[in-house]
Amino acid sequence: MLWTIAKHELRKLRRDGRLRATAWLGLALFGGLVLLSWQTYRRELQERARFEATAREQWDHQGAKHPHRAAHFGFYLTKPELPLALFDSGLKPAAGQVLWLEAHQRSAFTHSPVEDAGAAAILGLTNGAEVLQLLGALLIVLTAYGSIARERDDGTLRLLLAQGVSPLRWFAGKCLGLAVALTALAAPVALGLLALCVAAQPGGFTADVAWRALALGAGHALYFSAWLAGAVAVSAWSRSARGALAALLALWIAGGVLAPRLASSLASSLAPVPTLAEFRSAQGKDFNQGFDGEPGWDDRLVALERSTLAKYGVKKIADVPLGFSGLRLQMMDAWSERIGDRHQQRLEGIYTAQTRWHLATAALGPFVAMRAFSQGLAGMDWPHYRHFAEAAEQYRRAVVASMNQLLERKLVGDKWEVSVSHEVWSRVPPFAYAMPHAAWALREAALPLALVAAWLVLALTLAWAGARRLSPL
Amino acid sequence: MTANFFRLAHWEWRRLLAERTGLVLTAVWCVLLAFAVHQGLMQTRARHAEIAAARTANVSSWAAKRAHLIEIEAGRAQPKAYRDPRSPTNSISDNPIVLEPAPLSALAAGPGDLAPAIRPAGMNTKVFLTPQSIDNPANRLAGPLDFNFVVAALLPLFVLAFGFDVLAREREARTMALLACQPVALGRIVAARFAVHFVLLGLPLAVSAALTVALSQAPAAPLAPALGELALWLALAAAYLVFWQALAAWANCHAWPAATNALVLSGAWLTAVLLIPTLVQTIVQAVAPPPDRRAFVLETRAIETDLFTRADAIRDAYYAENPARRPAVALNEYDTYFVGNLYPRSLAADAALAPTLDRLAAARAAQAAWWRGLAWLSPTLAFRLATEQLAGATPAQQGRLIEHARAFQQKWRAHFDLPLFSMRPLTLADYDGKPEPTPVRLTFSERSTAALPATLGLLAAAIFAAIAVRRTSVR
Repeated sequence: MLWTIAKHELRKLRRDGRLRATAWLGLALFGGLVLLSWQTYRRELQERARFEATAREQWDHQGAKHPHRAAHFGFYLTKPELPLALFDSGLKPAAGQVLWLEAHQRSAFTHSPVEDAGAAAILGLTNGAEVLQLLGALLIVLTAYGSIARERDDGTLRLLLAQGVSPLRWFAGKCLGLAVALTALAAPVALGLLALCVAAQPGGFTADVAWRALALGAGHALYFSAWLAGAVAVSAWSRSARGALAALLALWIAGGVLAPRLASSLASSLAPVPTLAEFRSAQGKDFNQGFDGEPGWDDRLVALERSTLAKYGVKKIADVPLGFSGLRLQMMDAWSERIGDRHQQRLEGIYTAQTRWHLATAALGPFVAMRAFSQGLAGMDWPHYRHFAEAAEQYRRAVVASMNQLLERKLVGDKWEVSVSHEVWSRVPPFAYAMPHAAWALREAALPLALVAAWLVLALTLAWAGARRLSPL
Repeated sequence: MTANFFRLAHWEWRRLLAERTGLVLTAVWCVLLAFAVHQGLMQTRARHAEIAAARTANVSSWAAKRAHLIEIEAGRAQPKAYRDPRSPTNSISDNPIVLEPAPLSALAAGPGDLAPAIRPAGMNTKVFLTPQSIDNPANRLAGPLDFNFVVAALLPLFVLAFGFDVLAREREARTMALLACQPVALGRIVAARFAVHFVLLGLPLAVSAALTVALSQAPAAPLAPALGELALWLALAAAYLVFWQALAAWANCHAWPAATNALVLSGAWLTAVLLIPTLVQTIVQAVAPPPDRRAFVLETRAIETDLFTRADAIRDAYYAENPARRPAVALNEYDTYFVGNLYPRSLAADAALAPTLDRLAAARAAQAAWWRGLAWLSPTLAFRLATEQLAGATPAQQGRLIEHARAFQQKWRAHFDLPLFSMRPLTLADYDGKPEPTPVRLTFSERSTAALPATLGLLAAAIFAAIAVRRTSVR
C-alpha cells in the first residue's frame, strides 16, 4: 500500500513539466558554478604551490641584511584549501587570501576578492553549496506544496479517506514518493560532485576529506529532509494549495534571502567590531601605558636596562657582553605578543557573539544554519581561517624570536648595525601546517548542525500532527 | 475621469483595509525600511566618526610637534631623542587621505562597507596596498540589510504579493463579467489598483530614504545637492517598482488562476534577483577573471627585494642626480636606514611597480566593463549597479582615492624630500607650508556618468514593460 501511494506520487511528479524545468534550471546553474569552481580550484592549487615556493625562495635569497630587517621582510603565507572548497567556497570571497608575517604585530588576512570586484563579487549565489541549499529547498517547496493540499482542493482527499486508507500511511506514502524522486535527482549530483572533488586534487582527497564529505552529505540529507517534511506538513495544515505555496515561499524567502542579511545587520549592530584605527590605538595605549596595573613599555625598558647591568656587573649598556638590542627586541616582542593576544581574544569574542546572532536568525529557516555547517565541513568558515592564522602566528613568533636571538649573539653592548649572510635565512624551518581533522570541524559546526536537526524535528512533529488531523475539509 | 480614477483607488484601499493582508504587508515593509534606515545611519555615522578621528589625530600630532618646535626655538624646551620636532624624519609619518561619503552612500551601506574610506599617504607609504581589515568576513559576505538590498531584492516581492491576483481574484470570484460591463475600462481599474499599491510601497520608501539621506550628511554639508540626488534615486526606485507592477499586470491580463500568476511572478523574481546575477557573476569570472592577488604580492616583493640588494647603487645614483640632497651631516644608524636606504628605494619601487599596478587596474576595469555590459540582463542588476555607482561605492570609484593619495604623496615628497635627504632641520616655515591632505569628493556628474548605462537600462526595462502591458489585451 505504502509503495503504491509512493508510486502514484512519483508518476504525478514525472508528469509535472514545471518541476522538470525548475530541476533542469537548478542543475544547470549548479553544474555551471561547480565546474567553474573546479577550474578555479585547480588553477589556484597551482598558484598556491607556486606562491609558497616563491615566497620561501624570496626569503632564502633576500640577501645579506640586518636580522631585524629580515624579521620585517617577513613571510607571506596563503591558507590551504580542501577539495571540498570547490563545492563551498565559504568566506573566501570576503576573507583575504594572504597573511604577511612580520615583526611586532599579528597580521590579518589581506587581498580579498571583494577588493577588486566590490559588491559584485557577492551579488548572486557565490558557490555550488548556496545554489544547492537555496534552489534545492525551492524545488522541494514546488514539489511538495500541493502534495496534500491539492488533493483537498480537488476533492480526492475525501474519496481516499472514504476508501479506508489510513491517513498516516497515506501521508507516509506521499513523503516516500517525494523522497525517492528527490533522491533520484540528488544522487547523481552528489556522485558527480564527489568525482570532481577527487579529480580536482587526487592526492588531496584523503580519508579525512572523505569523512568531511560524508558528514556534508549527511548534513544536507538532514536539511532537505527538514524542508520535505516541513513542506508536506504545511500542505497538510493549509486549507488550500495556494495558501500552502504562499506560506512555504514566505518561509523560503525569510530563511534563505532575508535571514543572512538580517543576521549581518543584527551582528554588526549588537556586537560591533572596532575600526582598525581603534583596535591599533587600544593596543598602542596598552603597550605604552600597560594594563591591569602592569607597567608600560618605557618602565619595562628601564627595568630591563637595570637588570641587565646588574646581571653582567657593568655600568653602561655599551659594556654588556651581548647585543642589548636583541634583548630589548625580545622583551618588546614578548610584551607586544601579550597585548596582541589580549586584544585578539576580545576581537574573537566579538566574532563569537556575531556568530551567535547569525545563528539566531536560523529561527526564520534552516538555511543560515545549514550554510554555516557546510562552510565548516568544507574548511572555509572562520574557525578554519582562525586555526590557520593561529598556526601562522606561532610560526611568526618563533621566526622573530630567532632573529632577536641572532642579534644577541652577533652584537655586543648597544651596537645595532650588523649584517647577516643569506645562509642564515635558509636555516629557518619552513612553515608546516596541517588542516584540522574532520572531528574538529564537526565539533566546531555542532551548533549549526543541531539547529538543522531541530528544524527537522519541528517539521516531523508538525507533519505527524498534520497527518493525524487529516480531514477532507 | 480623474474623480472616477480616485473612486476606483478608494475601493481598492477599502478592500486592502478589510482584508488586512495589505496592512500586514505594509507593516512588514515599513519594518524592513526601518532596518535599512538604521543600517544606513549606523554605517555613515561610523564612517564620519572614523574620518573625523583620523583627521583630528593627524592635525593634533602636527600641532603638538609645531608647538614643541616653537618652545625649542625659544629656548624653553629641550628636544628628546626620537621626538625632536626639528628632525626631518618627522616627514615620514602618514597622512590620512579621505574619501568623503557621497550624499547617497547611506542608501548603499553594504557596498560602501567593503572598501576603506581612508588611505594613508606619506614619504614611504605604499598607497596602492589596501589597509588591513578586521571586520568579520561572514558579515562582509552576507552584506547588511541596507536600502540597496531591501529595494532590489525585497520590493519586487511586495509588489507581487499585492498585485498577483489584481484581476485573477475577480475571475475566481466570478465577478469579472460584472466588472467588464461597467462603464470603466478594465485597464483603468487595474491602473487604479496598482496606483494604490504604488503609494503604499512608494510613500514609506520615499520618506525613509529622505530621512536617511538627510540625517546621514556630514554636519557642515549642504542639504540641497543631496536632495537633488535623492530625487534621482527615488526616480530609479519608482522605475523599478513600475517594472514589477507592469509584470504583475501582464500576468493578470492572461486568464491564469491566481496561483499560476504567483508561480510565474515568483519565477520572474527568482530569475531577476538570484539567477541572472549568479549567471552574470559566473560569466564575468570566466571571461574577465579577477587579478591574481598572490602573483601581485610576489611580483611586488621581487621588485622590492631586487631594489634592496641594489640599495647602495640606487642611493648613489640618486645623489649623483640630486647633489643638493646629499646629507650635510653624518647620519646615525636610524637615519641611514630611513633616509639613505628606504626613501630612495621607495621612489625606485614606485616607478618599477607602475606596470604591475596598471595591469591590476586594467583587470578591474575589464571586470567593471563586463558588469556594465551585462547589467541590462536584469532590472535588479541594473538598479543595484546604478545606485551603487550613484553612491560612489564601486571599486572603480574607490580607485580615485588611490589616485588622490598618490598625487598627495607626490606633493608631500616635493615639500619634504630636500630637508629629509640633506637632513636639514625642519623649520616653522616647513611646518606651515606643508601640503594639507584634502578629501576626495566624487562629483555628481562623475557618479551619474558612471551610473548612466545602468540607469538607462532600468528605465528602458520599465518603459518596455509598461508598453507591453498596454498592448496586451485582457483575456
